[in-house]
Amino acid sequence: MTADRRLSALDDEALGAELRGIADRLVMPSGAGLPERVTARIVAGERPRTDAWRHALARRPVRLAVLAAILALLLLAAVVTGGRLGLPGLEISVGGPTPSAAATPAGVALDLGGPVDEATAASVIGRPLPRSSDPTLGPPDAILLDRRVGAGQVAMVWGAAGGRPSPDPTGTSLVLTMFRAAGSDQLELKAVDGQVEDVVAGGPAIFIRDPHEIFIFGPGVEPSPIAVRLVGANVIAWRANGITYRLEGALTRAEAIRLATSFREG
Amino acid sequence: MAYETLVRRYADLAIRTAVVVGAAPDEAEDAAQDAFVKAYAALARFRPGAAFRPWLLRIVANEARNRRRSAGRRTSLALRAAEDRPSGDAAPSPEQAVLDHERRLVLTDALAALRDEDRQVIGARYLLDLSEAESALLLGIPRGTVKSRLSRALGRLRVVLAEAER
Repeated sequence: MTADRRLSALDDEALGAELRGIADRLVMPSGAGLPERVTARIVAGERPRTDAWRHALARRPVRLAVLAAILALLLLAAVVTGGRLGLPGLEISVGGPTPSAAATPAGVALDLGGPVDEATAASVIGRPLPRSSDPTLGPPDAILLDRRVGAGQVAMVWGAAGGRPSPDPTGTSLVLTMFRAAGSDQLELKAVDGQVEDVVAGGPAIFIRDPHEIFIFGPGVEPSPIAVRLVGANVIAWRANGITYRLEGALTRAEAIRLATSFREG
Repeated sequence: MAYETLVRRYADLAIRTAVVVGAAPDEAEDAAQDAFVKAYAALARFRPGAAFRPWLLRIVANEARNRRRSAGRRTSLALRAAEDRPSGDAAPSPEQAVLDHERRLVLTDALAALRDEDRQVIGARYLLDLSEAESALLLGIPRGTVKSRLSRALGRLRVVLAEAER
C-alpha cells in the first residue's frame, strides 16, 4: 500500500518540513551593497522618514478625510473659543506647556536590575564600589543589581548634569557596570571593525565605538548566551582585582580613558 | 562603522523577512534598508537586554507591510527556476527533480493564495525558521496566539492544496 504523499494529506510536521524545503529556493533580492548603503545614509545624517501618514492615507483615504474634517472643525472651534474647547468628558487645549522629560528613576529604563544600597552592591562584587576623582561625578544617582548575570552585576548610573557626557533619551549620562567573573562565567565584548585597543595604562582595556552587541554566556561546555545587550553608546571595559568594569556613555576615546582611570575603590 | 557589521549579519534575513511579509522583491531591499536606518535612529530606545534580532525584524516587517499597502497590491512568492541538484548517488533523476519542483510550485502557489495573516505566521515559522517567541515579536501577537494561528493557517493551506491536487 502506497503512502498518500499529497501535500493536502500531510500532518503539520510533514507539511512544515515541505515548507522549510522551499525556503532556500525562493527568489530573493541579493542585498549586495546594502550594508554600505545603510552606512552611507547614516553617515550623511539622514533622519528616517516618518511614513505613517503617507501609508495611512493610501490605506484609508475616506476615513482619514472624515477625521481630518472633524479635527479642522475642532481646531476652528478652539480658535473661536479662545484656545479651549470641550466635549463631554474631553477637553482639548491648543498650545500649553511642553511636557517635561520622563521623570523615571535613573537607570530604570536600562533594564540593569533593581535598586540596592551601596553595602549590598559591594558585598555582591566583593569589593568596595569605586569612586571617581572627576569633580563632575559625585555619588551615582542609582545603584542597580542584576542577578541574572553570573553572581550578580552591579551598575552605577549617573543622570544628566553639567560637565557630564550628553545623556541618552532616557536621561542617562554614564553607566558603570561591574561584576566578578566566577567559574566559567565570562563576558565577551563583541568587538567589531577591529576597534579593540589597549588603551588604559596599568592594565588591558578595550574601547569600542558605536553600537555593538554584548553576549553574556552562562556556564557549560557549550556556552550559550543568557543575555544579549545592544549598547548604543561607546564603551570602555577593563579588568581589575578580578572584576570586569564597563563604562558606557557618549564618550570620545580620550574622555573614556580619562574617566576610566579616574575610578578608584572607595 | 560598527553598525555596518550588524547590518551585514542580518541583511539577508531582513530581506527575506520583507519578502515573506509581502513586499515585492524589488522593494524588499529598500524596505530592509529603510528599516536598518530607522533601527539605528531608534537604538537609544532599544530595551537593553532584549533580543536584537526580533526587534529588528519587526521594524523590517512594518516597513514591508507599509510599502505593500501603499502599492495596493500583494505579491507572490516565487521559486527559483533552476534547481540546485546534488551530484552523486543521492541526486534525484531528472524526472524526479521535475516532479519535486512542481510539488514545490504547488506549495508556493497555495501559500501565496492564503490571506496575509495566515501566510505571515507560516512564513515566520517555516520560511524564516523563527522560534514561536520570535514569531510573536515579529507579528506583534502573544506567543500563544502564534501556535493557534499557525494551526488554523496550516488547516487553510491544506484546503487550498486539496483544490490544487484534485
